[in-house]
Amino acid sequence: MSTDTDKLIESLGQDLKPVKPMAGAGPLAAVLSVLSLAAVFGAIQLFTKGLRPDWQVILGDHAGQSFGILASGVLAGYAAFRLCVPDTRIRPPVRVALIVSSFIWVLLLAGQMSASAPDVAERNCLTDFSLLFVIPFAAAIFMATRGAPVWRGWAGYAFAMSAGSFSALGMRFLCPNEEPSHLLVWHYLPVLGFTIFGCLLGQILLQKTSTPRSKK
Amino acid sequence: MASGEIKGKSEAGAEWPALMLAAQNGDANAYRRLLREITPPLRAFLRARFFAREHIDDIVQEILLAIHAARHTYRPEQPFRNWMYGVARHKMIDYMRKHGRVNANEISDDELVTLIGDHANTPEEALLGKDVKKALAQLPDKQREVLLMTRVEGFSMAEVAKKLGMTETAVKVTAHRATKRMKEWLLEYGY
Repeated sequence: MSTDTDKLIESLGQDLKPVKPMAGAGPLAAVLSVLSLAAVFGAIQLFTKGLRPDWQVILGDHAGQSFGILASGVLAGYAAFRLCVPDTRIRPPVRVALIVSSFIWVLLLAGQMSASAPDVAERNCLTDFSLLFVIPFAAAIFMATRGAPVWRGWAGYAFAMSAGSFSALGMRFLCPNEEPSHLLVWHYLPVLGFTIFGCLLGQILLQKTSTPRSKK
Repeated sequence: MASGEIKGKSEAGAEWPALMLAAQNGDANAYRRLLREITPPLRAFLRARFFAREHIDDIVQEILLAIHAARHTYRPEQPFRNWMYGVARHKMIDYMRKHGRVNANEISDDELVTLIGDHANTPEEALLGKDVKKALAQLPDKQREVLLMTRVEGFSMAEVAKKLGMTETAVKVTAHRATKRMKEWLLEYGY
């Protein structure tokens, strides 16, 4: 062992403070999900025209679809927090969570594919979607600063998919347009776009992570 | 856990998880011991990936600093080696990106990624990976033995010379030829 390495070990030992171990991916994903839902519905009330008049249909006729979107958000959050812990590879539970959450979106997108061209006048949905996306994504990245992701692109992808799913769920409660073409272009495809964006952004934003929190 | 509860040299890293948990609780002695014990395997991990000796210390120190910064992310249900080599591989790639090709005899970034693509957790696994194993198989027995002892097991040239009954110069020449032949083979087969 070189003298420099020996000195470094000595100094790291001297600087050592007790740290609070990072919470598990499950509890963190649960916290993120609750925060995201609160942020999305808070933003709907504060910054938009409010819930659609017939919002109960989302919990009734469209309950399956809504549950799928919610499950995708929670699973992607779980995968993202698992990816915040260093590991030599992406483990099977994380792969499964990523595949299932992505597959839900593939099904949702495919389900609207046969539709006719969308009404271009509904452009404000993209603005609303972006508004609903910002806080959950920022909260996720903030929570990720406690971690030390070594697969940053994948972590960014998963965080963006989680935030995108919660935003898309919020959009279902906000916008009354049920046209498949409208849902495809203005509610679901943005999730895909924001996920790619999150993948790229994750590489940058998650570089400066791993901040140990002192126990005292 | 107090450091006094963890006595004796750990067998092949069996005590590393306990030492890390003690370190998370602020036990500096356990932490120093852990860092000292993981340094040789980290050096071997880098040597197995054909890093030049003069860069190994730098990268090991980067890895130790990263382990220090990320120590709170270790959880006992996760194998410590996976966690440690996850950090090590990440810092190694970062170092390569920062410094580019370190010298003419080293494997480039892309070649490195190919070599580490086997997801090996230890240097031995890395060298015994499917493709590298083929490269090793084409070496004469003596060259292979010297290469493994010097690059993977971490013996010094003098120690290898003593063990194999060779002169130190002969060991150096054999190790150099083996490394050169390995790289030529890997390049010939598309690495």
